[in-house]
Amino acid sequence: MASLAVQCPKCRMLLSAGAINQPHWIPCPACESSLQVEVFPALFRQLAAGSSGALAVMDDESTCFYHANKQAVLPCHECGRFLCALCDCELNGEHFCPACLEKGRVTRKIKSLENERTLYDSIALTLAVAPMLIFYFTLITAPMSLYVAIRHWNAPRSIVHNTRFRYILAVTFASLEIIGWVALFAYLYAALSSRRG
Amino acid sequence: MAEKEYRRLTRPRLRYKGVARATTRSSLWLGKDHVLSIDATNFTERYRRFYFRDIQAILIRRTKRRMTWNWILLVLLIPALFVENAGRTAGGGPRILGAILLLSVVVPLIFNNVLGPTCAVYFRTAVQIEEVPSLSRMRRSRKTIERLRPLIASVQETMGPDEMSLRILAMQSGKPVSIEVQIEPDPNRIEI
Repeated sequence: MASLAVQCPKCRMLLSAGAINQPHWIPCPACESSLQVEVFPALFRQLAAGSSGALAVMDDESTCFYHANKQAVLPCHECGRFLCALCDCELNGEHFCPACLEKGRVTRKIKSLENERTLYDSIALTLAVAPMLIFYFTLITAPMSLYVAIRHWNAPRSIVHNTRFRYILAVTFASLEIIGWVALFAYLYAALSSRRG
Repeated sequence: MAEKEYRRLTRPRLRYKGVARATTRSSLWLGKDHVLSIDATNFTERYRRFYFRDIQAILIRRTKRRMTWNWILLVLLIPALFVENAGRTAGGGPRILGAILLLSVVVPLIFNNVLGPTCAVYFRTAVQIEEVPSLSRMRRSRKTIERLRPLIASVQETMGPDEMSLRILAMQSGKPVSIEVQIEPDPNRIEI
């Protein structure tokens, strides 16, 4: 039987069926929070029972790469190895073997498995811009910003703002700051040399 | 030009859950077959995907956040009015400071009421009930849900309002609900 329980999100009290799909607000019977609940057919969908894979009976049958005694039912979408029902991992209509799934998660090749990204472009830009308030810090942070920008130039950026604009800004500001420092030191060196001479 | 993978549903909103999360901004994006919720700090982004086929229910809970902020801002408005009044009589710099102080209370107060009542929205899937922090105002939430409803309905099995009511009634009576699931043969399956 499908799990048909809809709970109050605040107190986790089970809601009665009368509270579902109502056009007006319904109070939770326990915490009295005003709620509106809209359910979709997926609520009534039964989860398909898992299969451990059928045993291979004939000698010339295709068998699973990982379980030599089990019938192959699908090839892996990534590596093409034959998989039994037990090894078949479905993800958004594509079928993977456990190894490719793990590899895809680690190498971030399977985008839908990725749940966190570090925004190196923001780090580089912050390192270049924020210390400008106290200019002396840029002596250290400008090279750091330049290093981060170059080192992570090809790293995945934000999933929704996928441009190199921040990297370009960071490199521009950091370069200008470094040029400024070099010019300042050159001027001071020249001034000291002329005073000695 | 390549089509954008995600379309914005809501602008980033600050999360109001504890001091540690105060700097987290949450936004909602519409993908091809899912809704993407992004919790962004300055240097990281965390993603949560809600696939249309997996969304079982959307719950809206009315909250008192607007009222709370109204009280806080009204309490702050009283000293701000005194300061502004004192600044006006003094003239010059204090007058400008008083006006800035007054505006810093009045503007959020107006915005808080123009944006409308507050709420919390939750997506229920088979494994979780997850709050969507970027949907915190009723008007925006309703607009977003209106936009999502046909997309969710288009990928889930069709169920008329009568059938839905019957199933809900079966829930109420506690009778087991028998569901016939049509499993289509997978075209990738190997014929052995």
